Amino acid sequence: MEKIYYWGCIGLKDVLENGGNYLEYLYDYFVASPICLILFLLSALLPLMIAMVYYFVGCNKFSAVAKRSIWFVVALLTMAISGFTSNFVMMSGDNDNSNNAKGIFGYSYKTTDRLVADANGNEEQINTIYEEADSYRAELREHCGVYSIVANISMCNALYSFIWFCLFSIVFKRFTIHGRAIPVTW
Amino acid sequence: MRLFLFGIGGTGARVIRSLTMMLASGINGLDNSVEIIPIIIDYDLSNGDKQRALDALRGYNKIHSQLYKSGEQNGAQYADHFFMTRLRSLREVTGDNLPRDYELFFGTAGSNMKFSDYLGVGTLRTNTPAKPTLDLLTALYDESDANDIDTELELDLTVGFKGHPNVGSVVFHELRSTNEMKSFFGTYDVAKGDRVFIVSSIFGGTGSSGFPEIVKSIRNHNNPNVRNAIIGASVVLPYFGLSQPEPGTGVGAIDPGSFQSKTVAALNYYETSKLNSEVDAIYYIGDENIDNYDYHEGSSSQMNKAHVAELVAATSIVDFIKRGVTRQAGNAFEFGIKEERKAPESIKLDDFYSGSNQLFLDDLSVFALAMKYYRDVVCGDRNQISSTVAFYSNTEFALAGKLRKGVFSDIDGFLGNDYGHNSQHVWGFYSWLNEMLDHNGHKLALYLEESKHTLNDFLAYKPLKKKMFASLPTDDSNINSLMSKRSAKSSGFSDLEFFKVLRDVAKQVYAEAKNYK
Repeated sequence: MEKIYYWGCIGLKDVLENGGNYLEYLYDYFVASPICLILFLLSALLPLMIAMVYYFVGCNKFSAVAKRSIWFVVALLTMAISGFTSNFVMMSGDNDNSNNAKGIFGYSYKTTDRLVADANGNEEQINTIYEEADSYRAELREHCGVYSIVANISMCNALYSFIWFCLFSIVFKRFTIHGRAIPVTW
Repeated sequence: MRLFLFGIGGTGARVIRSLTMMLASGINGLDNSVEIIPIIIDYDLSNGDKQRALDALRGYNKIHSQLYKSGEQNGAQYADHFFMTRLRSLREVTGDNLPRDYELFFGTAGSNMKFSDYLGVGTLRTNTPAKPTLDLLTALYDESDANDIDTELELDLTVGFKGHPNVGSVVFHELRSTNEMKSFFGTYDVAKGDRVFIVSSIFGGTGSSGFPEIVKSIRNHNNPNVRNAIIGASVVLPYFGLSQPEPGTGVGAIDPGSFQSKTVAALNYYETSKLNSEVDAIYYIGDENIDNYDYHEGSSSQMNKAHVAELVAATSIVDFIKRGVTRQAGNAFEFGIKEERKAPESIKLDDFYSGSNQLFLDDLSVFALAMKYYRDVVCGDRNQISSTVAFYSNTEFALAGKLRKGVFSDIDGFLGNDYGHNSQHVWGFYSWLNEMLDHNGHKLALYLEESKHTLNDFLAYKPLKKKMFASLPTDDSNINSLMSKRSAKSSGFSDLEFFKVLRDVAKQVYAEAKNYK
């Protein structure tokens, strides 16, 4: 499912296909976990709900909202909400206590524990693992380096949401009173 | 049912024009099962008032045909639509080869015929045994020169009888032998529900002489299906006068000072000759508040402004149809409003009784409101609607591509694109409304239809005032919204359906506007 984000997230593609920094962490979160599926479903569900409100509440009750300019503003809002929500879903679980961390941070602790277990007590290897984990989480917190993958996936989701919003608009508009020609007349 | 409507003379033609405007509004009860066959009779073949009435009839019929003809051919019924009543010409109804559509061709056909020529006085003068007849004629009719205001025998009949019913009554005796009357007699059948209505003035030359002749020709017909016709009549008493003639407009043969005396004489004649008892319903219409019109003896220059008396006379036709008058001679009706309103005051909508509202005025108001919204907002004269408003858009009526073409163009013509200003020979709806306002006697101010007024000001008697935090029923956005809501229930998006939606919404808006406090 992660491949649906390759077009907009070249960094992730490069690492997963050719290897690179934080490969284990990125693999565990974006490939082994269902996060990409969840994010993609989110990109569809949000515009579905917003389109339903816009058309079945707004365009049925208030002719004043049945305008292309307003539709466009709603579409942009949908993109913004989707982008921020996707970012939040990935980034909001930060916690120093590994048992309480969620999202990308929660998975980073699990990856660290797995790698340490595989090190079979090799102190030098274990130290390297901990240094890499700290660096990974620091880049995420400071919004640099590996964080760009999170940002790019959020933007991809925003764009997917816009497309979903357009599709739902075309389906829903004919069932409204005032919105039947918004955004298009066909 | 079929109504054969005879409109005699200038007044008859102007009443028919008023009736056409009312029928455009889609009078409740006059659906497309009602067929009105107007027959305008005027010896003045080029009369301007007659021409305007004919233009109105043809304009109406063109719109009706475009909207309803194909449906009617499949038996469709239209009971709540604009332009729904059928107006057909006599030649269309009978299939006979008659020269004109809504007109009885009855005149001198371009030649300058005098009354003396009509009677063959020249022959009588040279025929000695005919001298007693000649003496009788010269005793009955004034022999003054053609340029004398008292002339009768030398009266030029090209423009009619110039207010001389004693001349008209002789000429009209030929009426029953015209092709049109024969065609009428051949198709009329009281057993099938056919009726007759005659509109004429009683103070002119043509109407007062034509009315008795038509009644007699029907009541003396040998076919009982014609003889027992149900006849109604609108007898229009004096409601205007004439100014002194300007040089070149005529010799002054029409004497407005004699209008009242002619009226008295005619009414007396109708009573003593038992003509009144031959008519099943007589509507007396008149106006004591006399306006003086510019003097014209006829022809194309005679185009009197529409008058509220003619509107009332037209409503008598509607009443006759709706009342279901039967063969009971002697019903007489008059019309009144609540308040006397002399100029500079105007008669307004709220001066009419509720009976008038139910009879025709509500329908007329709905039509006027609908057409104002159509012109102001849909066509964009004042506040062009957005192309994405649901009912207007290409998903529905696709109006952007239809306006100013086809039936929309014909309706624009019927209304009068320039709101009745700056045009010659105007006959349309807006001109008609403007003319009824432009009088020194009784002025009728129903609607403010021009684009400088919003729909909130539309009802002349009751401009609507906005309240805080509430919109008006006549706001453009409210009507746009109602149109989209109503069109969402439409099964198709034909031109007919658009005007049906427009009518339904206009009815709702008008009802709310009337009750708005």
